[in-house]
Amino acid sequence: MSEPIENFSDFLKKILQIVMWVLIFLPIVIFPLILIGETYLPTKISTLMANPDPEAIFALLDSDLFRVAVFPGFTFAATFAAFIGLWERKLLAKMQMRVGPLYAGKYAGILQPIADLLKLMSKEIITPRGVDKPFFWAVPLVTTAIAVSLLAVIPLSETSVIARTDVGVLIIFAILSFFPIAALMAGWASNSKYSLIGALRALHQMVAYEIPMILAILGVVILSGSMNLLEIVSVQENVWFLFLLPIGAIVFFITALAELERVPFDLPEAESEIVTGWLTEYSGMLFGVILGIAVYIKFYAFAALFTVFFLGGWIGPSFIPGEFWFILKTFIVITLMIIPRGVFPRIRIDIMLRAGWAKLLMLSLVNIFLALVIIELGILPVR
Amino acid sequence: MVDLPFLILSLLAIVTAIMALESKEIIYGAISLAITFLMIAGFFILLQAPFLAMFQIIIFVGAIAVLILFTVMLVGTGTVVSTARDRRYWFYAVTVGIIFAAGLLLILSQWPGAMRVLPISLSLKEWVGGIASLLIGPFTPVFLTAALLLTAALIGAITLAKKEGTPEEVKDG
Repeated sequence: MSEPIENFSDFLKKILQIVMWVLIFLPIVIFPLILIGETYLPTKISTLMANPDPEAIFALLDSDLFRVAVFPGFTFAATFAAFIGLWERKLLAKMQMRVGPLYAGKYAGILQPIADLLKLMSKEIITPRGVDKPFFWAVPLVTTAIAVSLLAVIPLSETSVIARTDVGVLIIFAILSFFPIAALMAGWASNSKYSLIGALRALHQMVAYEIPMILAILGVVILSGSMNLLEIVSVQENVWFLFLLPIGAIVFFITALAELERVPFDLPEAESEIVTGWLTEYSGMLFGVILGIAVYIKFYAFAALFTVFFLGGWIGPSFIPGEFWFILKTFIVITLMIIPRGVFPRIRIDIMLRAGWAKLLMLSLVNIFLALVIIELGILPVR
Repeated sequence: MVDLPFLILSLLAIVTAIMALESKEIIYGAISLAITFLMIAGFFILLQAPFLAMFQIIIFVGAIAVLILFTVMLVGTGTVVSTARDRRYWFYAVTVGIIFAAGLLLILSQWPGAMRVLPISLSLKEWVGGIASLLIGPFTPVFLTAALLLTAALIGAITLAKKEGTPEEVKDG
């Protein structure tokens, strides 16, 4: 299987490849194992299962592990993301007078995500000849890790939030800056012209639309006087920022569509031109991991961020828990983000770039001016 | 004294920095450089400075590493680096590096602030407020000069990139 090592530079290359793999696996596998092993030894878990102690179970439900792995974290978001996919297909079918998924499950194809998952898992994973194997296999892990790390700062309510940090907004933009690198890694490693063109388009688009997005959020930060997402939500108790900063909300919505590579900004995966863009060479479960988990969790995370920044997060009539209001608002935003896919054609790349660099940038500057006017007129107190 | 996260971060930073210099595929080098910047952000987090850490990631990973990758993709690897490596200057480079590191260690060992214990509980407002009052206070001329320099660089880049003549002439060549 492995070829004999001929000279010293090949040997060094092998070692560098091993180091690369270690670098990839260290943060993904070994660090969490160390963290989990300190507090949740397997023996402890089995003791708990044999002798259920209510206090210990409540402590587990209140622990960081549970938050990260289950409720505001991965499992919830992945399930939600899977059903976003189903909802998208049903909604688009309704808009185009079709029926959409119908046969999986008793009612309206409700089990279609599970059927899709089983289909993708049963397919063969093809590694094309000439791909750069470390990068090719790292990309699904990297994209999923980046998308899931967005979930850490999103507060579903005052209590169900993973990271209570003062730099939440900055963390979001720091995480966003990794997506173009992951797309480029995929495009270059695949060794295919469609992948490379798609990755370059993704890079253009994400770099161009990241700046208006940051400036649109700057208005929110000015009004709330904080970069902590929990405080940003609690400031909106009386009036949502959607009504104070409508231009910022529109700019954030458009830039979110562009960052998510959704119609009308789906140039990086334009099916009719460049097969699936930077995902072209991925097959089977690798494709399932990137598209099903990473892309749709990113979709959920952006809709949740719109809810946090402009729709007042969990704030609503208090006879129902805040998580419900949050999920309802996020669902409405997701529906609004799906509808353009059934309505608009794909726009040209030069129009898209000009709109990003010229028009949206101007609009976001106007938005910052409006925020300063609101502060100056005393509509909201300076915080 | 020396804790595990610091050791892991330092090890990864040094290994990825060496890989960024030595790897033959330039894209491996660029990605390694991005990981190095990430590890430096980790140092900032260990020093209780999340604000600086996040800006380190946004600017160095989000802008600089992406621009390097962009250039590599657009220009092609053949013109950026030559595969025939020149090894003659290796000795001088290591000597200069060791001299520089020794000088840095000498200066840092004489600076009393190097061994100071950091105040743990600084809130973000104190952090940003401190940086802002320095920038708008005693360092205003430096701040304004940097802004002017960046504007001049921007205007220069636009002037260089913009071709003279009507659109038809530009299209013809």
